[in-house]
Amino acid sequence: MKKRMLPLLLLAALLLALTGCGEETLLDKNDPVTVNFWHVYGEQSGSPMDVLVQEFNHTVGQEQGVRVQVTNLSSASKIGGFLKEAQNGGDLQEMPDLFTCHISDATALGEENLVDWHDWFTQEELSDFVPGFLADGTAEDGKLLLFPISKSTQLLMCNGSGFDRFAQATGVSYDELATWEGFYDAAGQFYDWSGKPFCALDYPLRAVELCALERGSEDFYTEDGWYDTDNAVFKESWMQFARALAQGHIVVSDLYSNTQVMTGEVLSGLGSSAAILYYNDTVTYRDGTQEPMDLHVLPMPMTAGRDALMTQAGVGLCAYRTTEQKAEAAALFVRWLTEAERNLDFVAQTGYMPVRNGAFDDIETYDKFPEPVESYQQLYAALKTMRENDTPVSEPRFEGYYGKVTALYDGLRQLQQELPARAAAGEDVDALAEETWALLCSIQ
Amino acid sequence: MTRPALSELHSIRRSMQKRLAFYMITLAILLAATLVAGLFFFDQLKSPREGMVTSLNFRMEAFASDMESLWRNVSVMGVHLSEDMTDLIEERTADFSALRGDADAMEALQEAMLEPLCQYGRQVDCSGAFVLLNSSLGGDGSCGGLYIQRSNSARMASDFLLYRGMADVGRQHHVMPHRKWAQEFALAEFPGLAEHLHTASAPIDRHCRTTALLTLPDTSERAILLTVPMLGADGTVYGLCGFAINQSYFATHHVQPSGIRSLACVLSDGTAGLEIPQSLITYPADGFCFVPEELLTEKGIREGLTAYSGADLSFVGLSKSFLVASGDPEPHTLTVMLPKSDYDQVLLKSALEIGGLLLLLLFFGVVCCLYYTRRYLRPVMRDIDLLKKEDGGEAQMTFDELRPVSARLRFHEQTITHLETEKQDIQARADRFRSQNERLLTEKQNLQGQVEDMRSQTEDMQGQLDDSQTEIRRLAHFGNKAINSADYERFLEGYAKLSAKELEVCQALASGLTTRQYAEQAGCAPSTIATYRKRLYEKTGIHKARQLQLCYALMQMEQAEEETNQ
Repeated sequence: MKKRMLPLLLLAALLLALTGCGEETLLDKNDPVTVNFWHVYGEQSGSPMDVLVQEFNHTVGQEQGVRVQVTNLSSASKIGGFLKEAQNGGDLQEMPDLFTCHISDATALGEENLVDWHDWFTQEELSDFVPGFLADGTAEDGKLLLFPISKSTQLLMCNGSGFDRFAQATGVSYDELATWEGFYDAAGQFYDWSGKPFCALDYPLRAVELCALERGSEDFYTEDGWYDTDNAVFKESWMQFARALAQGHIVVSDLYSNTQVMTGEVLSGLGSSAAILYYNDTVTYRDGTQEPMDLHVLPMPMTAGRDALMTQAGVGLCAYRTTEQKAEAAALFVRWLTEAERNLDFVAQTGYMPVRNGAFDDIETYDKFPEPVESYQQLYAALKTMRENDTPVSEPRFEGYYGKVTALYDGLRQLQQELPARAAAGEDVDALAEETWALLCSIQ
Repeated sequence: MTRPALSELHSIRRSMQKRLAFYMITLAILLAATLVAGLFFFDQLKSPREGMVTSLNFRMEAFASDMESLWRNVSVMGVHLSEDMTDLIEERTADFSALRGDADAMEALQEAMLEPLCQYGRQVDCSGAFVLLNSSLGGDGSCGGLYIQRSNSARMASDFLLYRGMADVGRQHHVMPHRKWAQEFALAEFPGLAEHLHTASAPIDRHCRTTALLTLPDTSERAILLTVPMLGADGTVYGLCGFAINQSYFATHHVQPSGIRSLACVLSDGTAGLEIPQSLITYPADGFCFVPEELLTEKGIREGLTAYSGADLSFVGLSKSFLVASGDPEPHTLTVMLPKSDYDQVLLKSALEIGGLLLLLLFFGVVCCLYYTRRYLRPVMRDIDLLKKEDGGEAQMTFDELRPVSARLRFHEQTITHLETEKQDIQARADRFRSQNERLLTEKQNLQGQVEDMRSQTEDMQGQLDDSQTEIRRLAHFGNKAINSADYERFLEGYAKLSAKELEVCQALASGLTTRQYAEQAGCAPSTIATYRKRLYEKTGIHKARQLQLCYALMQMEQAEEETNQ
């Protein structure tokens, strides 16, 4: 009997030791660690991310002793500033443990202060993600600072009811919006027809960049993170946009283009694919009349006759380096959040692109889109077209870049208050457009 | 009682150690029982369930206090807002009914209202502020007005977004349209507002009321709106105004202090059951409790607690009615609850702790009793062992009480020793006397034998003497014939001069032995004996052996006669 028991006991001890080695963790179910989380999903309306956080806390988090607490919601353009303020000891909120931001916001916080996801994910795990998305979150020295959970691109979203009336009156069709030339031409026709801007652009500078790149501008960034104003192709692209802006054919959105579409101030909005989450199903005009939105989602215009480019935008998940326990907890949440099916559900409800290889194909057969289902289907059809035909281009990652962009947009918003009137008064449109160029050149 | 048990009891009675241990354990049990009884009578003995109820009651009091403070503040400020907005309306509009359908007039009024509304919004503990006008641009079913909402990022900045209202008005005041903006309030999307509009009357502070908890249109935010009528001096109902508190604001700004981490504090409608989708929930500062978005059915359980059961999860807690606003027809309900699994775990943990404590006490008590019993009895047993030992009397006793016993035992021991020594002496003397007696008897027997021998010798000697006398007479008869008296006289004279050796030879030859025979008997050479015979013969004047025998026998006879005569 004893002879039999001894090997069994030894085997059990060995297994126990091996099991212990394999599952060494700093997490404790009975003493859960709280991970404070800032994100940018559904800032004003609530989002599926909050639902996912709740689900995580109730399931895996509860089982393994992790509680994710959303302590702030912001926007992708503002969260970098809030993070920097918190890191500098701002008295409004403490620095979160986990947050979504752009790579430039992350590097501004100091790479040494951030968790390198390579420490928590194996190469085999990472190989399942779209390489370009991983590259967006990788620092110069190879550290993976942003973990991709969703990616967006820019799309054109139209008030279908208004466009139908416009098309009926002028003969302009959606097809003409496929190129920048057709887009600006349609914008002019719409302005002439209605006296209103055709489109509000959330990120016009990015549209200009892509247009310039399509036209062969080559690299137009300077070392200090702004633009080479001597680049003629880039300037020409800018001027094309600026002329339309100066004449009031288009506007820089006052905050989000979708609200201007919903108020009937503009017929369309050029912005993130994720904006679909915020579109109402009606357009309400100042006099109180309403009409169905009938949202039409189109690919971003491209330069005719050139290879199309698409922007690859979107924040990633970044963890602030505090304790190993919190880093492990954050990694646990990120791993759970980016599981294939869960990631697909999340992006499909928020208008983003999935981050795992091959996941985009699954969206074609996806049948759980929220309302309006047709608009979501159009959105993913447009995204599919762009993914198949366009070359993705990552956003600039210069430190301080987005602050300059914000300054530019604020300046343009000021200018667009007066330029159309001056153009209507007979001032030279090119000269007015030059004023916007001068604004861009003035930003350092 | 079974036979082994009786046997064991008997064994306990007979064993000093077992009996002492038994008494000590009994004492320990009595002490424990007294302690429990004391705790019970002083109300210190509470079940974990009672402790949980006390804790939940404490949380409920804190939560209720927080809610009273919140809603009192919101109600008071709502009345002020109503008064200010009413003044603005009467100041800006000559004919309120003319506002309907007039976009410019509506815009002008909203323009005037927005900034004061924002100021109220900043001052009040709320997520949003609104003014709903009993007028519209869009027609029936909707009302114009303003609804500003703190942007979620306003946790770090005091920005407002225009959730309802004319977009241009908002932009001019940097209150940008909400991403789910709409120009007017669709009354169907704000349940309760239409009914409150119709029933609004003075005094406004008595008609301050709250809506049922609603989901803000096109968002996932749940909110409660506190509404106060705006009444003109002539009784015209201008509309409603008030403040909103939504779920995210509520959870962020009304974190509850609590030592229970898995706690949910719920403000819900007062309807039967706990309709979570119609509730505002907040949590402790560093805690979280997942509550499913479903109706939880209520069922009373012990100690005044209520069980709230959903499809998959159950909770345990307390509920109490709470009147949010003075004009509410039905009170709301405040609930504090925790997951039933946690509750069960607490009970189980408490039971295990009590069980463990009792086991520990029992173990400790028994071990202590046994240990101290042994420790106490060890010197007693040692003393007893010392008493048992024959030579232990000299050792120092541990207990004074045993010293007299030791002394007495020592006395008895010495007495016994003394008696035994005496006994041994007597036995030794008896043995000695016995052996002496035996020896004397032996000697007596020997003496008797010797007497017998002597008697026989005497008889033999008497016979020999008789024979000798006969022989002497015969020899004398023959001697008288063979020897003359002179020879005999000479013999006597010579005999007296003989040496000892010569006497021996004389006696041997007189007894009839030859020289050679005597030499062999005496171990001498015959020549030596012959020498002594020659000297003998010369001294006594004897010439022949026959002559010597006659003279010697005659002398013997004369000596015997002399002795007899004497």
